[in-house]
Amino acid sequence: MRSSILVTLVTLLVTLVQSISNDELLKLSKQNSNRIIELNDINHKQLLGSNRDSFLVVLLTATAPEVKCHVCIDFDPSFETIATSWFKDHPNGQSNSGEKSSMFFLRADVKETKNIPKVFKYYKIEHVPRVFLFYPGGDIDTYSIIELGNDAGIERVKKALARVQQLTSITDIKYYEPFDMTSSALSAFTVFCVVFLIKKYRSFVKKLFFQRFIWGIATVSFIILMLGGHMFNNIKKVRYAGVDNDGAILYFLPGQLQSQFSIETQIIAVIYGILAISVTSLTIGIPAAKKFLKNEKNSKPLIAVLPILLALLTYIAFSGLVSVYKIKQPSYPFGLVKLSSFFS
Amino acid sequence: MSSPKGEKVNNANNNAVKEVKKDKKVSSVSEDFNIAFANTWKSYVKQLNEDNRFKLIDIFCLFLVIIAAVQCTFMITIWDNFPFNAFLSGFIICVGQFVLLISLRLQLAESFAGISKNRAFGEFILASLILHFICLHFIN
Amino acid sequence: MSSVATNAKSHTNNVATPNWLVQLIQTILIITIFITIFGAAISSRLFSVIKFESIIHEFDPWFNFRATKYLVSHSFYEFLNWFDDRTWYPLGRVTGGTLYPGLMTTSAAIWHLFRKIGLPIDIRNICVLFAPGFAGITAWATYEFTKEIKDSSAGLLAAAFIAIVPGYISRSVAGSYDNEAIAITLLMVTFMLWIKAQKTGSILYATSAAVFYFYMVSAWGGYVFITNLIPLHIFILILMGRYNSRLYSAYTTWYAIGTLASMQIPFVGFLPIRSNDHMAALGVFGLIQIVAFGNFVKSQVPSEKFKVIMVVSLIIILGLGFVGLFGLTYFGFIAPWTGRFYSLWDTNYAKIHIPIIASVSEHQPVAWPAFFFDTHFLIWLFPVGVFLLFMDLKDEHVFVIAYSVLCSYFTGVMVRLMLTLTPIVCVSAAVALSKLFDVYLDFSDVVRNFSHKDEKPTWKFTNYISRLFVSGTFIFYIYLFVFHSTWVTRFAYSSPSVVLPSTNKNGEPTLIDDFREAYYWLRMNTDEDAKVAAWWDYGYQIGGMADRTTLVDNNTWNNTHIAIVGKAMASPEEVSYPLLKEHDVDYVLVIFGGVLGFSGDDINKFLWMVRIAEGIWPDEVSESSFYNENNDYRVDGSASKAMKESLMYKMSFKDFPDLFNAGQSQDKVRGQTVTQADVSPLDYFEEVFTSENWMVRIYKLRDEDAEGRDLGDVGTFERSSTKALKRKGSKRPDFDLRV
Repeated sequence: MRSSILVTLVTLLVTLVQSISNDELLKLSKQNSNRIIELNDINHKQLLGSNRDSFLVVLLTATAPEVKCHVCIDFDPSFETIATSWFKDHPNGQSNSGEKSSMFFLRADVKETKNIPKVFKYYKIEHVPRVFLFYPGGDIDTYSIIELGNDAGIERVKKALARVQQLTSITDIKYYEPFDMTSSALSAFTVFCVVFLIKKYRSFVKKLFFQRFIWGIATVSFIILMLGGHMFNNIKKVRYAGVDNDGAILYFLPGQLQSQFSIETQIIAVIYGILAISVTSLTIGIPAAKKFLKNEKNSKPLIAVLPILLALLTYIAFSGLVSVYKIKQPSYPFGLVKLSSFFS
Repeated sequence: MSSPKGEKVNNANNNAVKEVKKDKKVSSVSEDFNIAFANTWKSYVKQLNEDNRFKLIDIFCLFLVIIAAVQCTFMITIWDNFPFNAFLSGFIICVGQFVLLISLRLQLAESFAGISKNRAFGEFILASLILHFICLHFIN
Repeated sequence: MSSVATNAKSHTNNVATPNWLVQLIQTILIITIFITIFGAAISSRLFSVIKFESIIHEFDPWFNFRATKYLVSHSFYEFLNWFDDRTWYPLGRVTGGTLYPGLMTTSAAIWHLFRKIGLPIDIRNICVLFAPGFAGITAWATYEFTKEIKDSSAGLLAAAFIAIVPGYISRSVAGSYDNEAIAITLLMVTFMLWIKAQKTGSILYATSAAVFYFYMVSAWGGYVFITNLIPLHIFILILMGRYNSRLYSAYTTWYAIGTLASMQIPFVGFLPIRSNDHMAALGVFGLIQIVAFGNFVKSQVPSEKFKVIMVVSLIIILGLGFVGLFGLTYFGFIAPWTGRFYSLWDTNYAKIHIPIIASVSEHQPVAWPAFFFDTHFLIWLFPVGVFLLFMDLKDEHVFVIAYSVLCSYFTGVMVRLMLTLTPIVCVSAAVALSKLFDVYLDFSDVVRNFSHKDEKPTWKFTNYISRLFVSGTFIFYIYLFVFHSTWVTRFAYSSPSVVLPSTNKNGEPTLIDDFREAYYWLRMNTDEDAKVAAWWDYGYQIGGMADRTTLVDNNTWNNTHIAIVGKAMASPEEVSYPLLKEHDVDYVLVIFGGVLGFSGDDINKFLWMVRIAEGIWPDEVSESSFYNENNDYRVDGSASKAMKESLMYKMSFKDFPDLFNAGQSQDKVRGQTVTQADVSPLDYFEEVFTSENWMVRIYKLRDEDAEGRDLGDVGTFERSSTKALKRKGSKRPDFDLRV
């Protein structure tokens, strides 16, 4: 009780002493290209607790990979876009809605887990990301929490912005989704190049087009990609890889049959590819080689040994697949390496 | 570098050549069509004269097309397709019987491997019966 | 099969050449193999009956079972015109016109057949054993299919694979009486007949393919797959320049009869000529007429000139067709693509436009372990098979390739389509494996080379060794596959989910039978016309087992009606009571897993109820109010006010804290402690039944007060006057059971 009175007294004192004008905030925000003022241990009390005429939108987040906060990593660029969109429409941070309606964006980020900014302790933050809205005035303890909800991507941003609009009664907040010029330019360039090349080597392309072999490989690669769960990555927008408790990289999401990292697709596709190649060469490669080397003198040993090697390769790849699968389902009882389990 | 005048002349020449080519192309295409139709018609008539069965099948086909057309025009003129299933079954039976006849005709002209002409006819009868049965059921 | 056998036998009588003997032995072997395959297919699907009992599984099968019982006791026409007033109260459901009748009709036919031959079998047993029986037929159809693709040895492998592959067993164990149980069989039979028709050009095969296509349409909505795959096959063949008259007669016959027949099913109606899903087939039908005509012209005209003609006419026709399709769709003659179809192509479509599709777990994308889990080593033989078929690339191989590519994409998007992928995985893997065995398992030259020893024997010997090694490893994989399949079937796919397996504190297996206990209670103790409100998941089961009228069920055709139940569950009881009274509800049933640790209970599904209700009444129900201030969904002391006041919360946790000693009343699903202070009393509802392990709790709506007082006031008054009257302790369940 006493301590809280003390805190209020201190804040009151601070408020009385300090005030911060919109120009100063603007100046600070211009230091960063994304127009977000970074909160640190030194400036946070001054910024949040000073007398001012503006709304402050504060993002408390933790993008450090050890925290494993996906929403933080996901929402961070959106927040930057919100800020840049705001300043694009309102270069001074001043809304057209009237007096006392300027708005600035601040952020405190846990970039390393060892070094947690004090502002997190001050507000007793247990969940990240948190978006606080501070009102004009200067009370460090008067704020509203903007719910980020359970949606993802643009929906979340829209809901959050709607809430901000409701609370601040600033009506002209807009959100300009970043338009990536480089990717469209790149794709235009690639299309141009491809068309040019096709035009130039028309006969070769035509020959290629009628190659059954090429079509076969393309089809099979597509199928293998699908079997590796590519669509899962595409739809669920999963993470590339994970980190375990000791900070080591995880290539497989352990114990999860219904979920995966997107790197798993690549690993599995490679395993399937090896298996497909070795079995195909066993089935059509070896007979073809036999035919081809019929008149060679020393071909016999090669023809006899090569199948064994390929079968071994198949076996190794398959046991690799099964052991990878065991990571996904630890209770799976059949391993290829431990053959003894079958015959006991 | 040639003079600008010369270029222009060149251009004009090119255009003229192109136009001529175009004309030729158009004329040759229509000519091709004419020849193709004439040839096809000739061999078709020849085929008909060789075998009376083809004549029969083709008359039947024509008959079906006419019936289908009549039904369609009727539906469009009254601008109502109310017992839609009745119209559909009437129309589809024409189409279905038509394709079955064509299939039979193809087999009579050149029988498929493993299926004798008599067997093809038997299959045709069976398929037609099934088609008619379903249509009768559908028409209510 | 048997005709072949008798043929062979009759021939052996005439001429006793060794050739016939070989054929006879072959036939006998094939028959033996088939009997074993049937045995394996059926017996591996009986795990559920052995582990539990002969019972219908899950949710949808209960509706199918109820419909079958109706069909058996009524005439077929009554069945087709069946208006069910015992579901979706007070709306009812035009059941006869909104179901696929193939499954029920088949089992009713089997029932009648058995009665005719003097074997009266209970309809329930027919329904339970329906899927295993048809799995045997699927194996035969797959054999015939693969035989057309490669040869009979590949066919036997494919049949053996499909008989025990977990991906197919998942939907065809005994008791899983669902449309898919018959649909996969019909799918394979249709495809098999189609391949035969396409190969021979026979009108007969095409007609039978059409008839089975009709059967398929009557049994499963997935028939659209066939409707699009067969035209695609033809289209690719035409593009490859492989058109011939056989294709014409096969396709046009199939399309004309198949389309006409498919319109006989009331639920399908005029869709085949109205919806865009079916337009590809119509387009190819038109195209093949043109191509056939062009082919005839081509044979009369020199090929040089024909090229020009073809290009010109093709452009005109394509342009006209495109404009026509666009125009018809624009003016509303053709329905646009259905949402489910869109969601297959544009993976974000469903998320944005149709949340009810996105919410169903069957429509989720597949992660890679699921493929391995469902098909084991076939999954990596599958691409090999596709590639090997590419090297041959006969007309029928194009079909397999198109099927593989399309289906592997669709399965990646939607997990339920794993079922349609599985057959082609089996076929293709069998082709690959049998090609491998053709090379390595052929030891006929051993016998032949015995006589003349010209070459160095050592290399000959190593050659044999290497062949033995290669085929040995692959035989070992097959062996492993059998173990894998059995294991998966046993542990993953044999649970009826009506009865739950568990172990008691002595480690002995016991069964948790709360669902049936509760449904039986409803059947015996409530009025025959009583209306039961429960979340839609349990609608079919209440209808099937308790035979009581429900408000909503698994046929989720009316979103508003579902939202009503959602709103009643999510609102405080004084709001829910009049709402439920308006709908004549007598009982409310909730599933509660907190005592047992059953995670699929209503509290975990609760947010869906809130969301769906919020979709209709955004002002009255709001999802965010069910999270506490830390944005968490909780049930303990820190739960939000709306959560604690909701009818669902009160019904689930009523008297729950009293079961335990103070401070130990932990919800085993959520791992949170619910105390007496959290659960406020119910005034408008009265607990009438709680099952043995508290999984099902049934509440009755109290009658309105005789003195016209508000029921809430009555409750408050009574609590203040008779504080001492405590509830007599309910029977404590066995806390050691866990799901």
